[in-house]
Amino acid sequence: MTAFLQLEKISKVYGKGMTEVIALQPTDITIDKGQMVAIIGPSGSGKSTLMHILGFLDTPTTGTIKLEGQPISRRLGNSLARIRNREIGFVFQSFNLLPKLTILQNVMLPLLYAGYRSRARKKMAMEALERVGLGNRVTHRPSELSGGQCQRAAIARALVTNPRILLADEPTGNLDSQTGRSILELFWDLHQQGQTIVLVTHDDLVAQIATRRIALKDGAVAVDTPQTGGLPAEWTNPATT
Amino acid sequence: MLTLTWELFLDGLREIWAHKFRSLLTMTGIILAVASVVSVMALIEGSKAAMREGMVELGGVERIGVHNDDPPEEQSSIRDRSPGLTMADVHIIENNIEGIAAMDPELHIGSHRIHYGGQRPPRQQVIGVSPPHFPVTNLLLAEGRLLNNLDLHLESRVVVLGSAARDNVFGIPEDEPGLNVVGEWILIRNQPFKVVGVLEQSEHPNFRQAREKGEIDRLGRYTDGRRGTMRNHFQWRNNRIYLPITTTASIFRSEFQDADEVDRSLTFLGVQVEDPADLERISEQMETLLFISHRGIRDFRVDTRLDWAERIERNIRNLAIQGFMIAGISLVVGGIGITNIMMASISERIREIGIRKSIGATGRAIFSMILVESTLICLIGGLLGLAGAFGLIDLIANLTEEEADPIVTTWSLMVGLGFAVSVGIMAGLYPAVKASRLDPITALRYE
Repeated sequence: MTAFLQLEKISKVYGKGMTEVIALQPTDITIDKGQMVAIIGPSGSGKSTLMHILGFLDTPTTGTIKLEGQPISRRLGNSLARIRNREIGFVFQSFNLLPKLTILQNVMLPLLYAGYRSRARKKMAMEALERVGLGNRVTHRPSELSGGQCQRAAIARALVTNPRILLADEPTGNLDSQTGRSILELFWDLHQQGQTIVLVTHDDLVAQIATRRIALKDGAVAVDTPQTGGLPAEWTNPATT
Repeated sequence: MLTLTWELFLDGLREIWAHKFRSLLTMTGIILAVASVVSVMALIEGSKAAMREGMVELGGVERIGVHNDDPPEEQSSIRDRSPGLTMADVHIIENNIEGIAAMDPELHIGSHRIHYGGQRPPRQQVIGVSPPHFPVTNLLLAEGRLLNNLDLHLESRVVVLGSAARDNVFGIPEDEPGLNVVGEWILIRNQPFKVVGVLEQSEHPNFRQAREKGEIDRLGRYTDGRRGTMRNHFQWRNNRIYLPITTTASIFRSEFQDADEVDRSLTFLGVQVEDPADLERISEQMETLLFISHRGIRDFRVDTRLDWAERIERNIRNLAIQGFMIAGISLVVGGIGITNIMMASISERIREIGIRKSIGATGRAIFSMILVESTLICLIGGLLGLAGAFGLIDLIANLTEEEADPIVTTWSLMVGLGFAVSVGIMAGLYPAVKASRLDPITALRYE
């Protein structure tokens, strides 16, 4: 495996002086291509901060991030936006689909910012939606879909630009266990296809499917260990919602 | 980039459509402002065109007019030293200045009851003129003959009637076919005069246009059964009765002259020049000659038609400035309204902006999104304003009975729309900058 994302001595401090809060202590993390990493920790452990930095939504206070060996932590907003657009796919707990757009339009949106023409956008978005099993729901708006379907649409949106890394923040947090399970199955499938995935969760069950577990505590890495991962044997249902 | 622009355009339309009523309210200021800009421009354009047409109709620009005027304060006690504007001035100017085509002195003696037969005598303006008056002021003969030099020389008791004066004194020919007024005698203040000619109706270009289109008849009555009549702004010319100026002076001067007042034989002196390029030279020479003949008393005013045109244009310009000020204020108010609504719209869409940023929208893309939206609001408002302008122009034209038909030019439409779009851009700038600088994490957390 090759190192895809390297975090070297990354730290994040909010505020200054008396109000200073250390969200993340100097941390080294390397994520390799094709890994499925679960970042786990209780609320306030710094996992959200870490995810924001991993996703180039936020810049670290110190340290450098290397994307395929290129340091990029000091880049400006617009080029970070470009990295988010092309290299990172986000999946959020609350789906974060735009309610006014149809599912297809939502999935096409990242491609718009990437500069694809309308026909290509539609084709790629349709492919992504087929991939998550939503090919027959493309003209619906998010309000017309179930939570599981919305999350699938959000995953399609995250996948549509063929990102090198899929970042999921509590992807099953707003779903019932059955639906959550099918979403995790989808993630596992994607991992099997070679997709690099980072799952941020506080749920140990979710973390168990990952092949590597990073546990955070008080802004520092407490545990970083490989694990077997994979779907629990008792989950036999096919990935449907 | 082109794709993005088009998508932003569609996005903007979608956003405006999603808040139809709010968008319409927001647009109102722009609609009104654009409508007033276009209307003001149309009214100005109309007034200018009417002025130009009217001036040609009344004898062109190659004219200089001499009016009686009050002397300046320091000369008022010696104003009696001046003989005033007299026929002598006519001869002095005619004999001393080169390049004069015609002299057109006028002696107005006010309006008088004109008696003919037993009917109720109408009041008509009576004015003494010399033969050149008719060609110089573009008055055409309909029946009989015009005044001639012999009339002037013999102080003949003859009159030429304006068309309305004829209608008033003898009745409308349409009602009394076969009536021939030439050769009839009328009484003006108990003095008998023989009608030798009747003039063609003098018509303002608008009036003539409407008559030629068949919208009104000769008297301005609407042919479609609408009540009322269209005003002919040259009707004052038709209401006149023209006498030889010498006859007018000899018969009426003694009768109407206030004993205390200086004998002013002329009310007005029109001078037609051969070449408009000489207007300035001739008017200056006239001033000099009149200054001498009036013994240094400045009790006259020399005006060229150009001065007149300039004065009118200045008035029009002033009106325009006032109009634009009002339109400008509504544009500014409309713009502030749009800034306000865009700010509100951004607060509602903080999360959306966060999502867009997280999936790769650059600050510039967000900036463009907001700017396109505010510009679109103004563009749509501007287009509605253009449509509204036509209604507003109709309304103003009906309310004011403006003599000039407003003229909507392509230029004014472009200016109106241009203003709207610039207001949209200016109003959207601040909200767009604000939105583009939103931190994606904060925006994503926003509920």
